[in-house]
Amino acid sequence: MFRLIKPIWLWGGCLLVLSRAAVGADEHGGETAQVSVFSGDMVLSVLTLVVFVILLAVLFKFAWKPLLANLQQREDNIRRAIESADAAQAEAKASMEEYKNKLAEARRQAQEMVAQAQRDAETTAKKLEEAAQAQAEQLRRQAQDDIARSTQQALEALQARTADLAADLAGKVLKRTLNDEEHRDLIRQSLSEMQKQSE
Amino acid sequence: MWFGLNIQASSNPLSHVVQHELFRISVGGVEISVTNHMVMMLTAALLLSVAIPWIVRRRGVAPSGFYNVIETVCVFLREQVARPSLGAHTDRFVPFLWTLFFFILVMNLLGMIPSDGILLLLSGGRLKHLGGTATANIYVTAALAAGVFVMIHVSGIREQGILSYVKNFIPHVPWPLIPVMYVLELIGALVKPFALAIRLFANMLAGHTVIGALLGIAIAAKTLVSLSALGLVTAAGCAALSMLELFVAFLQAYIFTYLTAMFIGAAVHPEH
Repeated sequence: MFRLIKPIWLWGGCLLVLSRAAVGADEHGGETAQVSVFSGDMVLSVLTLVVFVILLAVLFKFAWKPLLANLQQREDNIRRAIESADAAQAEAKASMEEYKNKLAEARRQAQEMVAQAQRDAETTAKKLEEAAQAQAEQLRRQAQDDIARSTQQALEALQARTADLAADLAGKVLKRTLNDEEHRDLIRQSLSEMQKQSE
Repeated sequence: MWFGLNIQASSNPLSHVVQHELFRISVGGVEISVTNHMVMMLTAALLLSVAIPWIVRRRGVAPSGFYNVIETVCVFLREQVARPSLGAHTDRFVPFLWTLFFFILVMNLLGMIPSDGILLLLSGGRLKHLGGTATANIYVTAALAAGVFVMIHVSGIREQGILSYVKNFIPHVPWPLIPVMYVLELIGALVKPFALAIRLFANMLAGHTVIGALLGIAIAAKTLVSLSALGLVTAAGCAALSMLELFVAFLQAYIFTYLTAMFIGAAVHPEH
């Protein structure tokens, strides 16, 4: 790269110096008129203004207007991007807050549900226990009644049987048949004796 | 060979920078002298009116290529030069400022190309003076400054209205001072463009005169031996000064634009 650049610089520099010198030499050889630093005339001034105005018009139409529009568009884009980023951030923050709240609410509800379930379970358990106890009590009472009734029935059956047996036995012992009147008296007597005994 | 040219004495260094007549044309019976500065100015305008639209044509939301250079300069002028002075009016005046900057810059830079010397050498002495710095001509800079003068006051009047503009032309002072202030402000209003014209003209003229004078030393050498010895010194000096001149070309275009923006800003914002 430098190999290429070096001769360009060297020869370019030489050409510049020579060309400047050429102008100097030429001027020396040519006119020797008085030179004024204020050389020029009004034509040049008018031309300058006209050229400037035309240049302004041309560049305004074909360069500055599109360039300015481009710059403004970019500024708008950047501004909009920043605004939308801010909005997105705010939205994200709001969503985060909302989700946090929802999560807290859900947790609270879950805890409440668990507590409720526990309470329900306890109540149910108590009810079941009570029902079971009541049923057991009822069974017990029924059993007692049954026992009592059976005892009474047995006693009554026994009494009847005993009377018949006693009557038969007594008849056999006496070897005689009692008439109805005697029979009844005897039974009544035996019964009252039995009742006395059983009491 | 060119060294065979008769080199006798130092030439006037000013002849590098002053205007030279190229030919005369007759427009409606009036003879107009066409000069190298006219040609350079037209070249600058032509170059700009072709190159900048061509470059800007390839713009995009993400800039690339040489468009970057133009856009960077334009954005700098818009944001750092125009906006501090013009505020909300920036985009109304910035095309004027951009045109002014690039026109002056290209005229300054074209002056850095020794097209006169190159063409003289290549044409064997037939094409003369086809080069030069148009901005080293007071008639050119004065015309630009006059354009700026009109721009300042027209935009001030358009923004505020003629009565308000005249009223705000001076700062708030006790009433006996008002006539004095009007005289002072009028002088100031004329001095501003005058200073613009002189600053640009003098800077461009001086720089190129110094380069011309340095080369004059080489020309002054009587013999070929002393020419080559002095040539090295003057070439080095010319290179260094040309770099300075390149900087000055940008600096002066910037200053002209910057001051114009400030003056227009002061005219459209009466509070300043």
